[in-house]
Amino acid sequence: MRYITYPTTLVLHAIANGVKYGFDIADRTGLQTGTVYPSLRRLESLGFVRSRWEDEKAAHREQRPARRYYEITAAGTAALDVALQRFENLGRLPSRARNA
Amino acid sequence: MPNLSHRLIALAARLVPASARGEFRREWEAELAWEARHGGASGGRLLRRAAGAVPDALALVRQQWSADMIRQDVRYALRLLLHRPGFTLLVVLTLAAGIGANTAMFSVVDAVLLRPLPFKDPSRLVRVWENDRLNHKPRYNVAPANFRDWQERTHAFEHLAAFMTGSTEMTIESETIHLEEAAVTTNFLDALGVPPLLGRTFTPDEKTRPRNRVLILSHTAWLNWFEADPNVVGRTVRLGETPFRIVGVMPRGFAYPDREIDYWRPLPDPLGPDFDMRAVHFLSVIGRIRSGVTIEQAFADLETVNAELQKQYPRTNDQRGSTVVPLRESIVGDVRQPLYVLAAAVLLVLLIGCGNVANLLLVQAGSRRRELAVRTALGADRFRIIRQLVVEGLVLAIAGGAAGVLLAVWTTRLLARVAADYVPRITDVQVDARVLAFAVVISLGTGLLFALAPAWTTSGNDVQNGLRDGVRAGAGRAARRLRSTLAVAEFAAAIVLVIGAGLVVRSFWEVLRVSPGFSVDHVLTADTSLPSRYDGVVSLHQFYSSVIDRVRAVPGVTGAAAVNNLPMAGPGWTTWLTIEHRPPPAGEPPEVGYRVATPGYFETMRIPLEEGRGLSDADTTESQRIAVVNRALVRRFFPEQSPIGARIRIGPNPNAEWRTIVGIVGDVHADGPDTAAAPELYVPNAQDPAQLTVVVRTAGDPGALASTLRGIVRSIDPAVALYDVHTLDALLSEHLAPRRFTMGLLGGFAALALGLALLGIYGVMSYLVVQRTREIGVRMALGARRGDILRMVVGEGARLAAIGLALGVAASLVLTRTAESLLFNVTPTDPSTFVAVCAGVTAVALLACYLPARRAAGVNPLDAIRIE
Repeated sequence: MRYITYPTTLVLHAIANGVKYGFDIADRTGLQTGTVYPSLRRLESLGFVRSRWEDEKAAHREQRPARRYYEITAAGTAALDVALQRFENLGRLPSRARNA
Repeated sequence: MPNLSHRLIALAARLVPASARGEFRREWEAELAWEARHGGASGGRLLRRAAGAVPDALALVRQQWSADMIRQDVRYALRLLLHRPGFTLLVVLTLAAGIGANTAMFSVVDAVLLRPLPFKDPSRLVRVWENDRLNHKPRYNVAPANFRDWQERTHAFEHLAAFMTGSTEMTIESETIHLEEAAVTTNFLDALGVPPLLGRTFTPDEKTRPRNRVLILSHTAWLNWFEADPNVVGRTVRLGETPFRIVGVMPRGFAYPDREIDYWRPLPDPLGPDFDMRAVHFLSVIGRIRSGVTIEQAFADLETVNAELQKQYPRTNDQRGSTVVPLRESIVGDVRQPLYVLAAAVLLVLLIGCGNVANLLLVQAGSRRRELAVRTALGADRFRIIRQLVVEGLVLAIAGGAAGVLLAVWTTRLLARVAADYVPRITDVQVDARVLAFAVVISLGTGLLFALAPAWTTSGNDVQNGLRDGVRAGAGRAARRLRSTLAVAEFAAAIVLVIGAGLVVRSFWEVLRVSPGFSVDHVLTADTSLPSRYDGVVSLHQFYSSVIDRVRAVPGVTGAAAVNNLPMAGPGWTTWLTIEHRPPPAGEPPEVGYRVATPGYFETMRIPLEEGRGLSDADTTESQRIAVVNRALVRRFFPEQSPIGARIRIGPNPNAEWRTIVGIVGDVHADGPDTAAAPELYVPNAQDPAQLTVVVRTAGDPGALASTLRGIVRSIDPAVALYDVHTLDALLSEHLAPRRFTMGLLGGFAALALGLALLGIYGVMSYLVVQRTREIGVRMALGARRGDILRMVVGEGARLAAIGLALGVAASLVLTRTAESLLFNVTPTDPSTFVAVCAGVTAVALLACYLPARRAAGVNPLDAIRIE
């Protein structure tokens, strides 16, 4: 099992709770985009999340480009459980993550 | 502001590997657009958001270099290299030779020049000499009374210590062995600051007799002669007839003044009556400067004392100053330049090797052009391809480096053994962590160096051409130009080395051409050590006379004699010369070489008698005191008259008897053929007692006589020790060994460099021929003859060789000056060496071009045109 860092855990936790887009994750977790995106790349390379592009048509209707969204995988869910447990044991899990 | 955000994202995108760049930009632009639309964000907020693109880009770059992918590249590289075992082996061996030689040379430079001396605070240690400005001798041994005054009157030194080296017979229980000793002032070991392994160092009161009968063993002597006995302290041994108590053992690796020293004993008090003199100079002096005092201040302090002494003792101390040199400099100063020259030479060999490997890789890259083009077409970006090629280069370099380290371990051991006698500290050489670190850095550096060039030219090819041309077309014009440039550079570097080696070889030949002034073949020499009961002229004379008489009677012996100090056997004795009816010079009288010899010495050594007579049996204590002088002495002191019949006095005693000069002999290069002959005089041993070295000339092999000589000496007196038995040939050879060592190494490096450079030219030309096969076919079909094709290809090669030659010669004209100290009777720009090297090297270079040219000329035009 690969361990993930505390900020990465926060990002994964946000995705697990249905927050899909990069900037939204930054807003939800309170992390900077410079922390969120490298975490997303790592999570994706570990196979804990996968990314897709939203429907072009929907975006078009709103006259903006399509956004990329992220979803948690089964491996990601398992990894999140382990990570949350680990950080809980360390007494580090902030209320924000628990309540998200 | 929004513009700035977009520009920042565009900038970050340039860092991202091409395969991910499009999506990266799309995602960030989309997020920004969303933010602008829904968040109603201010420009500042947008910019802060966009700033995250930079760490994101870096994360993507890092991912590209992730361990997994590198592992994949390494696996691919290994598979590829194993597929081409010939190529791989050639590259690895070339690199192993370059890296191995550099690593070995670095270990030597590290051990000898870089590593601090194994003493406490070695930077505060200095060597001190008298500076005899009158006779231009800046490094002169120190007179005991001067040493005493330095000790008492200077303030800059924590310790000033003196030593003398010599050799004695030590009797351990009943066994007598010949050992090297250093007689030292009692503060000597404290000055160096190395505590003993066992026992203690000397105490100040051990400078007075009889308390000075103590000694401290070297680690080697303790192992060799006392079987590392832990209870050796307190044991008593005899030096000659006198008992000495062992009070300590020094740790392994402590070897000052040299590694031959078997033990240290206290020097009798320099304050005592025996040593209260300024006219004889025999002490070697070291000093430990006080903390915080600079070497310049220490020197100034000594010079202040010297100025006082000059006023106080004008007869002996006129114009006598001091020379102060860091101790490390005094030990390794002489070998610094040769070692740096050799280190530079191996570095050149490595660079040439890199050039060759780069050339080989370029060929490989050329033939892999289609593969790389396919990969590019399938989406691999330039960066990815460069990385693959760099990884291949590094894999090769690491394999070469590993083989090189093995080679280095073996070579350093060999070097340490071969050069132990004339490169100080080289016995400390070892391939340790520092050396391994050096090897790793040099391997990786090498890998990058030779992999980058091909990577750059190859990855830049456009895909379409790559796919179309495939194997035949090679890597295009850029690569061809790069290959030619590499070959020219290699050739130029090789020429520098070959010219350098040529000059050193030429110097060696010049040294060999100088006659040492005597004939070295068929002569056996042996040192003798006589017990102290041989203390007078008569007993010494009788002993040597009977040995020589008995030896002369041995069949096959054509001459036998003895002398106190053989030529080329280390620093000889010197004495003062005073000539009758001449006013004494200011300061000390001039100093000349001084040899005590038996009758027959000149004949045995074949030193030509030029005027008058040599030494004879009629010269005794009862007869007139005589001396024979050499030509150099005549040139200096009797330039306009014959010295025969003139009277001289030798030594410091103003009441000594006058000696009459009775003969003149030829000059002997006493310090070796590469040094000038000094003025010398010879006196008969019957008039001046000394322990002598026996010399025997034989008709056959002189070595075969050694046991007979031992037998004769033993039968006359079993208590006399015979040691250092060797032939004069061997002595000369030993003297020339440092030169031969440098010459051998430099010559080897030059040969290696030239071989590699020729291989480079050959490779370029062969490749050119393959590439132009079709063109050659067309030319021949259109009527070109064999000779035309030969001329065309050789001409192309000759053009490269000529450029390399010109560059090499130009560089040599500048660089050979740095090796001037290695030369003898040859200038650094010696025209004959330059011409000979250029001619020889050009000839082989043309040969290297001729072989591919012949292949080209043998092309069948029809086959050639059909290739497509």
